[in-house]
Order: sequence, then structure tokens, then C-alpha cells
Amino acid sequence: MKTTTILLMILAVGLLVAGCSRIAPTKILPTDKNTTTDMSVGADATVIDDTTTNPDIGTLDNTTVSDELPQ
Amino acid sequence: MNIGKWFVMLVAMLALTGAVLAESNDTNSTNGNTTDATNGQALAVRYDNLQCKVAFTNIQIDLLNKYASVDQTANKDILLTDMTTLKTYVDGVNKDGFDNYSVQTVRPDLQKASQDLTDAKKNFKQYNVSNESRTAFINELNNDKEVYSSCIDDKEVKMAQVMEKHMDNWNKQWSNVVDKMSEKNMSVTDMNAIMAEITAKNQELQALIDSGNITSLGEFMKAYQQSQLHFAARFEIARLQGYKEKLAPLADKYNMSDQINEIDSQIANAQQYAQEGYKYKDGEFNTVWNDIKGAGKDIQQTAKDINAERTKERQDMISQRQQKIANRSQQVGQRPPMPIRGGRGLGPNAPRPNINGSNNNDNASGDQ
Repeated sequence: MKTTTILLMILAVGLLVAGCSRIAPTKILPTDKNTTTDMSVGADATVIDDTTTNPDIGTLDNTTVSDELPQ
Repeated sequence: MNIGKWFVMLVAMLALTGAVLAESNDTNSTNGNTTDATNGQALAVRYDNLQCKVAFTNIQIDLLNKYASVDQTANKDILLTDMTTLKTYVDGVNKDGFDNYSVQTVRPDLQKASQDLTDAKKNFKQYNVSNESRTAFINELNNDKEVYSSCIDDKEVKMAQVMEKHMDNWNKQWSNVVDKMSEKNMSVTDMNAIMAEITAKNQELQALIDSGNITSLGEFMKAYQQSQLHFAARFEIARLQGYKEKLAPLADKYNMSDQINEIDSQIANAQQYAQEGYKYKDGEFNTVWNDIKGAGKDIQQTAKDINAERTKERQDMISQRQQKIANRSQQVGQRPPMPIRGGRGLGPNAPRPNINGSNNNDNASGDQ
């Protein structure tokens, strides 16, 4: 077998693996689409995550520091 | 094959693989929560704000030592250590850790150092400082006060900018939610109204930033901070109501009204506190969000229960239909078969159904 053929095979396998790894999370893994959302209510999307439940970014500290002139 | 061709092939393979993986990472990054970035920026500004105060306090400790030989360097060392620890919470984007440490450690240490300075300056005469030294001390302190004031004002503006960005990010995220719910014909009127309120508040905030009126900006930010918490709760409540309204007729059909009543009750509990202008008292913030989360989970469960009922209903319909077909086949089986022009299977040599409606062909599935 020619070296070029071997390299082409390696390239094909590499692309196949990379392509599969890319589509796996969204295209292959099962979702609950077929079991819960086919009624178009979509209520299973009401996930309240931690970011939403911690909405504030906080405030600046309001401690007053000493700034008087010496007596 | 020569080395050059080997190299070209290797580079091509790596480039193609890298491109595919890079695209995959880009896809993931768009799914990230954009408010995480503003949370990190807010912590950095809050740290810098405290740093202004610590730096000004430490400068005064140095001045007191320089002009009156009063040694308060222990306070300075404590504050420097505190700020080093506080920085780890900024770097780790750990808001809870930052809040706890700044309130429980940095603030008391800063207050103590500040009080010690005030005490020393009140009794400055006891240190027998010459008039020249006292005047030099005052001049230096006045200069440092200006730097400190400018430092604090700058952080007020930066915090306002982060807040504006933070709320804008919320609107962008919420816009996606509203679009998806609109597609499913759910009510989004209240959610749109809340987003419009945020847009108006942000415009007001930007005008204050542009004006350079730090006092007004500070007052606006205090009010906005409180509104911000209500905006989030009000949006989630409006969202839950949209889902609930969609589910309610189906829940009623399948005798699940009790579940809807429980959701209503939790939403009402949250709603009584999530009102513009209301200031949360101890524990009320958590109460609101526990009710919101509880209602969300109940809505999910109700949707699943309704789905189960609908699936069962559908299966029953399919069974009834199959039974009808079977009955019809039985009736058809008692008549001579009708030839179908162009159809398959019922030619002169096709297997004939027997009197029970089943097919003589062993490979037949039985579905008609």
C-alpha cells in the first residue's frame, strides 16, 4: 500500500473522530424531546438556575474611613 | 513520498481537526451565561473600591508615624493581609465568599483602623508636634483626600457601568425566553413590560453617568440595586404564570386542578414581596426564590403528568382504532377479495386472508 493511501486513511479517520466528537453532545445524546415536549407546552424549560436566584452583583462598601484633619 | 509531502499532509490534518474542534468550542461559548462576566467585573470594582479606602487609611497611618511618631502599623499590616485574602475571592469569582469576608473581616478591621486614626488626630497636641510639622501633615492629608475622593468617585462610575451591562445582559437572555414562549403562544406581555422597564432604567443610568453627578448616581444606584432583585423575581413569576396559564386547561381536563392551585399559591407568596419599591427584610429574599423555584418544579411535574395522561389517551385511541380496523378486516375477510389495480400484494397469486382476518403469509405483520 502506498504511503499516500495510508496518510489519506489517517486523515479520514481523524476527521471522522473530530466530527463525531463535535456532533455527539447535541445530535447523538438522547433528549427528553420525545417524552415530554411533544405537547408544545414546553413547561419543562422552566428551570430556575442558581444564576437567576443570585441576581444581584453586590454593592460598593459604604464604610466611612477617617479623614479628619489633626486637632 | 518525500518529507515535504509528509509535512503538508500532517499540517492539513491538524488544521482540519483544529478547525472542527474550534467551531465546537465556539458553539459552547455562546451557551455560556453572560451574567457571569459582569459578576466578575462587579467583584473587581468592589475590591478596588475597598482598596481606595485601605490605601487612604494606610497613608494616614504612615503620616502619623512620620509626623508624630505614632505607631499604628499593626493595623496597616492587618488591612494588607485582609486585602490579599479578599483578592482570592475576586480571582475565583466567588461572590458569596467575597461578601462574607468583606463584611465579617475587612469592614471591622477597616473600622478599627479608622477609629484609631480618628482618636490619634483628635488628641494630636499630646504628641508635641511642631506647628510646621502639623501644617505639613495637614497639607499632605488634604492632597491625599483629593486622591481618595477621586478614587471613590471613579469606582462609583465603574460600578454603574457594570450594572448597566449586567442588566442589559439580562434583557438579552430574557429576550430568548420570551421569543421561545411566544412561539408556543404563551403570554409574554408582563415579561416584555419588565424588560422595557429595565431598558428605561438603563437609559436613565447612562444619562447620570454622562452627567458626572456622583451624588445623584450613587442614590440612583442604591434604588436600582433594590429594583434589580425585584426585576429578576418579577420576570420569573411572569414566566411561570405564562407556563401555568398554558397548562391550566389541560390540568383541569385531567383532574389536576389541585396541582395548579398549589402553583398559584406559591406564585402569590412570591408576588407579595416582589414589588417595586419594597425592601426585603431578613429571609424574605430566600422565601421569594424558594417559592419561585418550588412553583417551577411543580409546573415541570404537572407538565410531565399531563404528558403521561395524553400519552395514555393516545395509546387508548390507537388501540381503539386498531380494534376498529381488525373488526373491519374481519368483515372484509368474509367477502371475496377486491383486486386493486397497481396495488401490491392482492394479485391473483397473493395470499388470501382467512376468515379470522389474519394473513396466511407467515411474514405478515398483522398491521393493516
